[in-house]
Amino acid sequence: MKNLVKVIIPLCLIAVILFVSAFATYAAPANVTLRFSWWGTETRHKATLAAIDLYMKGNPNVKIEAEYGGFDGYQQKLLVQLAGMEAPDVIQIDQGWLQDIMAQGNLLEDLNKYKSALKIGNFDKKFLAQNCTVKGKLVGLPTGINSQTYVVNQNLLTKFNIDPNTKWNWENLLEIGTRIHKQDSSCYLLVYDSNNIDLLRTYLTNKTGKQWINDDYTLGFNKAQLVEAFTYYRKLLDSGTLEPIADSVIFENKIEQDSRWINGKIIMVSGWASTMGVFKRPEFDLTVMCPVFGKNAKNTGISVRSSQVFSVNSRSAHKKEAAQFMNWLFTDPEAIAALGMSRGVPPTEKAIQLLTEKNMVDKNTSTAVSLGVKNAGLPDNTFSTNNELLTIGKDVFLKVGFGKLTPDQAAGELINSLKAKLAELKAQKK
Amino acid sequence: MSTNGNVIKDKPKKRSWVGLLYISPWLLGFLIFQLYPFFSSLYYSFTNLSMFKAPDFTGIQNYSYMFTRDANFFQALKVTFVYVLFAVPAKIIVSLLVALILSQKIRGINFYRTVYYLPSILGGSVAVAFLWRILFMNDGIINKCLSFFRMSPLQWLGPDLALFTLSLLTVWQFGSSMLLFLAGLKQIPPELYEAAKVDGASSLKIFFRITVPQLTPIIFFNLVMQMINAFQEFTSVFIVTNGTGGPIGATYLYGLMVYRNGFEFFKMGYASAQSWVLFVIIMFFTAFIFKSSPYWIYYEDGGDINGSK
Repeated sequence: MKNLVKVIIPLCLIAVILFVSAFATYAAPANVTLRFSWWGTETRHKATLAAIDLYMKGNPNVKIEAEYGGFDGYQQKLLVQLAGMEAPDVIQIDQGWLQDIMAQGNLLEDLNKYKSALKIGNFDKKFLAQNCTVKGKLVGLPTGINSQTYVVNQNLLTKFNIDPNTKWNWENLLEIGTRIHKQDSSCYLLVYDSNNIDLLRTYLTNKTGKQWINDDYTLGFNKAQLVEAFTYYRKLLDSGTLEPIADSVIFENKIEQDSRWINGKIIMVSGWASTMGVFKRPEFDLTVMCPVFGKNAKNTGISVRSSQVFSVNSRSAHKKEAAQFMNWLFTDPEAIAALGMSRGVPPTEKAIQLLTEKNMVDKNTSTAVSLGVKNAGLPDNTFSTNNELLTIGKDVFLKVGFGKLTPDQAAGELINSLKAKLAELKAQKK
Repeated sequence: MSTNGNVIKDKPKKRSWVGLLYISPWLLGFLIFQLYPFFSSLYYSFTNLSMFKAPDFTGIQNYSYMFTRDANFFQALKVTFVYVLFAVPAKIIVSLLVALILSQKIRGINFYRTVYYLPSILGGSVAVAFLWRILFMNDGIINKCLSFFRMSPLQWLGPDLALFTLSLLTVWQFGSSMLLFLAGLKQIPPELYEAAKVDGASSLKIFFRITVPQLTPIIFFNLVMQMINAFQEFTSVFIVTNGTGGPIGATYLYGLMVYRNGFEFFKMGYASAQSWVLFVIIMFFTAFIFKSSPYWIYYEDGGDINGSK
């Protein structure tokens, strides 16, 4: 069977090469076709396509094929493409996937190799080291800087008489949340994507100053801290500070479709600066606030990271051209203007300056990012975005939310499941 | 005569080759896209293939891990069995009832038959699964209707009812089973009904003593096909729950688990092993239904299953 694969794949490759080379002889030999894939919303598609057009006008020998769509299924499709050696040359990737992808082999090119074509100096060195570097390789460049944020319905803020400068901590969150739900039982202060255990992780990081899983396959918290976190989470739910889990769970990953948010019954929703556009409604105005963290927190636990990164496929036949194209996207004034804020706050000082001059900066997005940067917590580590560990966490988190487990039982179950999975991951590494 | 015989003997031979040529697109497709993946997945199930790295042979490790340490596996197995046990009989009963109604001689019956078949065409689509989610949301149309009748709203997509709601989506796609039942109903000799009426049998008795026994071959076919499909259900749960199988694993169907292991957790070898376990389960139940068939299926012509009767 293996042999059959060995025969079929080269045969296909030869067929493809023959086909491509037949084409190439017709066209001018220097012509290069780059495939470029991304996900996003309509605004991002339009902006990116406009930028691509500009690039192709300036570089007639380069043809860029755009492959774009929504976020759903993008990751799975990309993985299949990478496995099948069919991935595009320039790829938009979520920062959180980089570890997982690179764990499967050197699938993404080390961009340090292209220093002549790609001006890396424009980027914040520390940021690149913390967010885009895997195993010492720079495997992507940030398309923008992103931060966790609370997207706030401003009209409700006024209605419920909440100070827009409130610094949320664990105490006043519960207090104000309780008050609001008492005042109007159809209203809730906050909704977290129920699929999102960030609330739990922030709480733990505040207590411990560590990530929830350490790089050495151990847990960053103890049972007492976990019980405390779950108990607090129950209080948020019982007091009506958080929207009931049974309602928010239906909108997992799509919290902007939550009917209470749409109908102006929820004051704040936890989201990301780069994608807060989805929460816009014609009925009310939006503002942003810094997410909650403890008064004496050892670490704020607020995640600041790349919106996404652009990477070069290590199997691309035109890596240098891909790097040149990426460089143009990041540095050329025309490109910066064309892309605008379609991927959040741009990653370089120069680009921010340019957009500010042109008055193209979206105030809420930039406020959200600057609040995040000011209060930034630990950078992601190897396990921050591990899908299997997150799935375990989400499950237990939901069980507490549905009242299927007490905080004490939940803490026990979570610790056991995480330990078992970590032992397994450790064994795989060897 | 003998020359004639030769001609007759040769002709079909030639024809059969031409026939093979005609079906070669299907044959090639089957060999490349079904048979080859089928056996390669068996091989992969004994490896730690991860989509990217060359697989290492790991023996029965995948299988032993599945049965001894993977809690998700048993959860998915449980959920899938409950789903099959509910969805398949429910679908067969509904399709039989609708077929009974549609076999009546009413004006415009063909129009109704088309309308009732529509869900089967639409049901598998992403849009309908999405619609299902909106219908059954906590403040969705179903709950609005309930509250109109002064009933308290239910959490249709909550941990207790989500699997039931999902089964309804399958049950609703009863069209193809219904068509088979319709055809079967037409085959029932009318004199049986006439005789029963003359003897004064009630319509309920007629249904259970004539209609159902006469339809058993169709019930058998529908049962097998629907069971196989139900064990492999994927699309509806993927769309309705945003690919999570939630809430808290309540709808974590087997197909979804295989997908997640393969495409989200990179464990292709393990996903292959799980597929094979599912295959064995399906084969077991299919064989069971076949073996049991002589005891409950009535064939007009005596039947030839298992060569008995």
